[in-house]
Amino acid sequence: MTDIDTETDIETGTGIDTGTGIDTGAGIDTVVTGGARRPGPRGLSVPRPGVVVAAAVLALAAFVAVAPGLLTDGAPTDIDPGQALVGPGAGHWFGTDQLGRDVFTRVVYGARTSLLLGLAAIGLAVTGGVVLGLATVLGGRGAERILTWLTDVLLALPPILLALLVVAVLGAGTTNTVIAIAIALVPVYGRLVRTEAMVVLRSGYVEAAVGLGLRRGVVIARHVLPNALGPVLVLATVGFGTALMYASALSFLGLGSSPPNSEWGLMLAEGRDFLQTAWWTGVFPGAAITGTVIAVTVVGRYAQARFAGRVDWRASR
Amino acid sequence: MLRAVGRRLARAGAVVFGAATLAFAALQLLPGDPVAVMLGPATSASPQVREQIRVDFGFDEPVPVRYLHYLGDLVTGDLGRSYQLQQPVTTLIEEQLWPTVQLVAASVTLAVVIAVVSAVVTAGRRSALRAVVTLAELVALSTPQFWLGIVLLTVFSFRLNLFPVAGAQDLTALVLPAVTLALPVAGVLAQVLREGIETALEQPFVVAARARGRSRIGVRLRHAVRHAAAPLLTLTGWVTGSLLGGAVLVETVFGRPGLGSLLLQAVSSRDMPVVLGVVLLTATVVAVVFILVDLVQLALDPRLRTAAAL
Repeated sequence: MTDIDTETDIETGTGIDTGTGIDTGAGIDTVVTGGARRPGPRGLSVPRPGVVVAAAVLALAAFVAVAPGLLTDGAPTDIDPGQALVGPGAGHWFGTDQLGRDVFTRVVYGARTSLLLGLAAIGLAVTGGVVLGLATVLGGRGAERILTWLTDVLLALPPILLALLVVAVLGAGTTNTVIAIAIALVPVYGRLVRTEAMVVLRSGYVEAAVGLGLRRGVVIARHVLPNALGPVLVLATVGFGTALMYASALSFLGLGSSPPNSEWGLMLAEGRDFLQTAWWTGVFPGAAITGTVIAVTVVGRYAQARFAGRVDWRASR
Repeated sequence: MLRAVGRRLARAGAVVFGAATLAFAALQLLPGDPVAVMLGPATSASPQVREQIRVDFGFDEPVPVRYLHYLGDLVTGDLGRSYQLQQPVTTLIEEQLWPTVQLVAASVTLAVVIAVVSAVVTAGRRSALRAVVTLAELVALSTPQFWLGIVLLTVFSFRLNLFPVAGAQDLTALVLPAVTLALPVAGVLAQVLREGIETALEQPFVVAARARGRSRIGVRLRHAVRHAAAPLLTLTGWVTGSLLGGAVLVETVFGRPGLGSLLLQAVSSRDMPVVLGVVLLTATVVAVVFILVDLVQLALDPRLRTAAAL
């Protein structure tokens, strides 16, 4: 723990005590006095127990997504009209919905769909970003101008609006939702890959590789891509949370998964109609989304903090 | 300065032109016949009627001609006609604009107030309060707005009956939607602001101000916040976009009229002119905000006025 701290202090220069001597006890208590500060931008540091809890939540979510049958006996589509809208209790931990389906079972089975949607969207977005980013680096001046302009245009649109535009063109549905979110996030990763690749291209080992007479493609594949990809993947951790959130938002708006699927956003939308009498139908699936997104954010930021100095964290949003 | 403004206007113009072209391309990419989309699946319209619609909307012209027409119309402020509602898109947007403007304005005010208070109070302290506030910010910025809205609705409207459940009739109906939209943004702003204040508090001028006898809170408000405002300013464009985007979700949750509801309805019925109108408007607003922020920063910070920036 301490060795990490001292390391970053040297790296980021936060250890330069500008005012320790002048600290008159006047409440300027932020002045660094050694390796007490955690790595990374200050406002963003997360206490270590928080990271452990978040990692545990993520592990639980992943476990539930892989083996939902271990946590619940029923099936997410088991209808029991006699037990409709029963409140949370011993029989049904999270209560039942308007068709008497067990909300806990549906939340458990919804994990797989929801997580997969987010994973697919962020995977596609990062892949697209790598292609776009490398294309701007390699394509020469003209291609670079056009792609930069295109990225500017796409970045002027809020991601959720861009995703809605794509859904309007392609039509609703799960696959189209994934494509829409990926398109909405591609400009962010494209720009990031470009920035990282530019840094790597100026490095000594790339010069050496070029000097050794390696072909352009080989230099890119062997040197530029692996080194530029690290920070991009770190940011993609937080991006996974964002993608998951957008996916469930689109389902919530009635444009993604359709009944009788159990997907968290969709369940939340269905639960909205019964809020007045049965809050549990909407609140629990929403809590599942929120809990997962918070956990992803915490773990992602921790990863970013470990990469501090190499990553511009602002690009993560 | 005039040159700086001109260059930025040109860049924003290029972005808006790009968005318009993208919108036109999206319109062309729409699978199927727009006339069929317009008439709906269950229709007994005669071929003559279909042909008439085709001519009315200009679908009979070749694509490049339509593109030029489309651009010409845009320049004169004409966004086309809705397929479904049979009204000019500009009229529809005008009708729905006010509730969204109200919502966004209320949210932005609320977000800034929350962020400034929580950052000024907790910056540079190692207290339990700071830990709690930081955690709250993290939770706020990762909470999906549609869920936050539903929780607030459940607690404050259904349980406590404090606020109306839906609509935009008066100011009480604005409270919950504005809070829902503001909290995630406030979380981000507070973090950035706190980071800025903490950096500023380490600067010699803070020590000097304290030595001159300024109070702790006075130093924070007069000196530290000013310095921290610069990184905050760069986020204004992002904030505008995220509020306009979030409005779609918040308006849906609270059953509020507005641009978001209009857009969502248009997306569901694939009423492309309306979708594109709202999207274009948003892109224009965001592009303009970006220029303004850029210029304000140039005006505020002389160090930025290098030859490359102007």
